[in-house]
Amino acid sequence: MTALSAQKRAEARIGLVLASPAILLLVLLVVLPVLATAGFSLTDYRLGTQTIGFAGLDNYGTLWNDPRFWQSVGNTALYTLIVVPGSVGLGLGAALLIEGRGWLRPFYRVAYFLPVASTFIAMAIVWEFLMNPSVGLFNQILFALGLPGINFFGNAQTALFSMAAIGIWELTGFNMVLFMAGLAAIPRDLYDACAVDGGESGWDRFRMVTWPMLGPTTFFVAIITMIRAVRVFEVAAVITQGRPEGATEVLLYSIYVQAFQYFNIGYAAALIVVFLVVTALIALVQARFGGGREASR
Amino acid sequence: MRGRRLSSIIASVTAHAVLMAGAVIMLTPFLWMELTSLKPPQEIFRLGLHILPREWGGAENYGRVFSDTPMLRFLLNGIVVCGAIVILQILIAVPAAYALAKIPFRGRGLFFALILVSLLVPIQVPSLFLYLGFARAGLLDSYASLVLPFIISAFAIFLLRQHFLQFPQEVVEAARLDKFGEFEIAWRIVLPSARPAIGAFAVFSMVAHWNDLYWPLVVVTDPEMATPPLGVVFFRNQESGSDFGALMAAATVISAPLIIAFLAAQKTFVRGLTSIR
Amino acid sequence: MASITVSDISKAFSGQPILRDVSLDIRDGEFLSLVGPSGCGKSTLLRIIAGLEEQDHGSVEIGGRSVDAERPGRRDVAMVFQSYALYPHLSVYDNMAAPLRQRSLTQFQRGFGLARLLPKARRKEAEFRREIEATATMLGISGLLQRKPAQLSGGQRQRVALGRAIVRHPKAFLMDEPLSNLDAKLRDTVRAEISALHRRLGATFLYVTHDQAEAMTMSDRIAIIMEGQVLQIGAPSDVYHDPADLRVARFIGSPRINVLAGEIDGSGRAVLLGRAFDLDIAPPAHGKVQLAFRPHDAGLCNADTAQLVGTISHIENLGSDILIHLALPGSEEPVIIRESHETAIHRRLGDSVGLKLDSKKLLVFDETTGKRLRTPAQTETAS
Ligand SMILES: Nc1ncnc2c1ncn2[C@@H]1O[C@H](COP(=O)(O)OP(=O)(O)OP(=O)(O)O)[C@@H](O)[C@H]1O
Ligand SMILES: [Mg+2]
Repeated sequence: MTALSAQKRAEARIGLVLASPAILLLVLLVVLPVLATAGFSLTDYRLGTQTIGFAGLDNYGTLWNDPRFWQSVGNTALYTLIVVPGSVGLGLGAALLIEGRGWLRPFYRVAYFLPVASTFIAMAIVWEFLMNPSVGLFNQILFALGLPGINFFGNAQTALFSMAAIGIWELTGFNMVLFMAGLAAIPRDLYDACAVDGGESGWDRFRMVTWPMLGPTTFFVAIITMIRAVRVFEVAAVITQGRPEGATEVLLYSIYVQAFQYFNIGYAAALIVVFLVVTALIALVQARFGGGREASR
Repeated sequence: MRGRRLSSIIASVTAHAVLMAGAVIMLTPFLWMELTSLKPPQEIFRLGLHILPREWGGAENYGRVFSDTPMLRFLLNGIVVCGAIVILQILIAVPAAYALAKIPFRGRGLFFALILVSLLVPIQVPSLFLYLGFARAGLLDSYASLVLPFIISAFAIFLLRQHFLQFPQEVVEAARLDKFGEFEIAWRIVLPSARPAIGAFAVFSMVAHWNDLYWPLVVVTDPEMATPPLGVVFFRNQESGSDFGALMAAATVISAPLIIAFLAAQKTFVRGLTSIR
Repeated sequence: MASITVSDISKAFSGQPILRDVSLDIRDGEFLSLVGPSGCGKSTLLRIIAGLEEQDHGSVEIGGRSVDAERPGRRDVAMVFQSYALYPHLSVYDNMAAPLRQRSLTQFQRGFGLARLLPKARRKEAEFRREIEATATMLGISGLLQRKPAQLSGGQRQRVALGRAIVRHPKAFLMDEPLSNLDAKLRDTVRAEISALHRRLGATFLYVTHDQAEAMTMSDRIAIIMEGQVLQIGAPSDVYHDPADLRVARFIGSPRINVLAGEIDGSGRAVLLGRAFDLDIAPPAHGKVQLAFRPHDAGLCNADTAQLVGTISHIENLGSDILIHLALPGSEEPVIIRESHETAIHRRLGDSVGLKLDSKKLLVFDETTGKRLRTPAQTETAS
């Protein structure tokens, strides 16, 4: 055995030693629980019962036939469909407007980013108060204008939209900062070339330069927002408990209720598997189509 | 030239107007929270739009927050839990990321694949199994159950590996020639260069776990063990929506640490929170 | 095609003056180079002419018409950027089509890809296609039309940038160091190509470079800018042989011009390191001057018979010629003399040799203002 290969082996041993705590914990805290959860989803396990029976795909069958499950999927999807375009669009708009706005720029940046740096559940409770049907600020303003008030969270028609409004408020500033970084990376020369080529309006500049150059950033921001949006939980859990009439029942809240209030382990595990598949799909879309991002930076 | 100036002034004024309106919307919840926390109940419930407090109710509201709930305990729990999580995450991730980036060992590819897969798994997925485990071990309502699930961060390992990969291999080899041990190389030479990345991650992780509600809601029922978000939820449920002044005061107290930290170190904060790129 | 007239342009960035009363007249069809050291304001001047930057004072006329109130797109000039500024998301074809579409399609036709299928837009698109293909053939990039800029070499990108400027037949071409991102060899080729292009199009070219050799070989005239001012405008041979300012003399020419401090005495003779030369110049008040001569305008001779004697401190062999560096007592910088191979081959480091100056070719500059003081003979040939 040569000295070099002996040294290589010693190195490799050190590598394994350095990585082993992480490997061990990863197996213990991620791999094993995920596999076990997938396993549970094939059983009729409920906490408190003594026996565990193999149930095959029964839990998935129950899910498939459960209108509440579909409602929860539909609510999560609708929430995502509102929050993603809303916060991505507003974030982009804010970033574009803030570009080159001189001395007020730092103020705007802080103001828009503050929701990101706050404790979300506390602010959700503040929103609940703002949206309180009788003493909330919003309805006080509507009343003062002589308009009828809105029962934001009390009405099945408006509850999910109220929740989405809070989501947009939370994520816009975050997306704005990502867009500002993207904007800063666009070469100034391209705007000059566009101007010399006859691009006159702000719209021309946006269409010819800003939008195409921001393409990869936009894609990335949309994916990130989507991953966050499908994880919506706090407002449903604390403020509405899925009410009224299940209008704010979202996927994670269903999981929480089934797993930790009804202790319907098998059924909750099936829900979790569905949730994992959804988030993994979004991430895979990003991995597959988002490759251009690194290159463009 | 004058036409151009005029139109650019109009554009600028419009932009400021729109941005200002947006800023007002963004800041309204914070302002309203502050203002309400300073108003006595009768003023909050009086109908009609009035913005500034006329009577001083601040002392009473904040007093109630600290007397009716173990608020200081919540804050302390938050600091202990987040601090422990972040420190352990870094202690475990740094050597692993270093090994992934700089030392070839058998199974490295598999380990990295595992990291990439784990990035896709949010806490809610293992939560069911982990809950059952902690329940069986009698560890519910403990710091252990609040901290342990998070001490391995695939994201931290991924982020730091990227960083270590960029560290020039020549320097590592030169250090080996100078008879530095592998551990010394990592600790004295490579690690200092990763300090900004570690700092950014620490901010990111701190904010994420300070905010986390899902897991504390699962494993904690004892108010003594509640983290700040769970504490404010307990308080809200206990007040059952009657004493908004005190509720807003509670919200103010638990939001304050992060907001103050953000205002004091904006650059670090923004970099940390957007480091998921 | 059009002339460009720049009158009294001033520009300051945050209080720092960058251009000071710059006036330039670029004739129709002329190739004029702007040269000067880095940061002297060349790009700024070009951008003011293009309308990308607004001047503080002064005005710009293109084709005899003031364009001060017009946006860049309306000034009908094309610009080639140092970075090429190609749209990375568009193919070469679409890059070249961009200015055409931008100018002759309506907002509606531009904004919606489908609208290009309407008959009117399609007729125009067919025109564009002919134009683009002809230009691409001329530049030798017709095989690349479907590629994206990222898939091109530096030289090919440069050609696409030229093509994007050419297709629209602008009144003038503005080029900001278009060759500086190419390697030395490619630069020589493209330099010749741009010259050929200029002859072929007969268009007005305003060409910015800080490479004086580039300016010398390509231009009809050269404008030398320093510290925000135009020091001299003239044909390459004029600025080389008859510089109006010491800074111009120093900037133009490689190897650099030799400069020695001296005085003009009462009888108009130049006194240089204690030796007098007949020049017949009206002296400036204080009499202090700088005397300059090109490396090929002086020769070496035997030390015994010479007026000025120095020691060879360095020998540079350029292959065809040899540069002899001569350290003169009393002068800090060595004097550089260009000699042919045959005469220089036997020279050795440390040899003591004489410097032979031709007083007809001595260029005299006022020491304080740097302005040229001409002898009567020089004034005659200059005019
Ligand atoms: N937008 C700007 N804001 C502030 N200063 C500027 C701006 N543009 C240019 N300058 C300054 O003006 C001076 C001239 O710049 P300019 O780009 O015209 O130089 P240049 O002659 O083109 O130099 P180079 O050969 O390096 O390209 C420089 O000192 C530069 O820093
Ligand atoms: Mg320049």
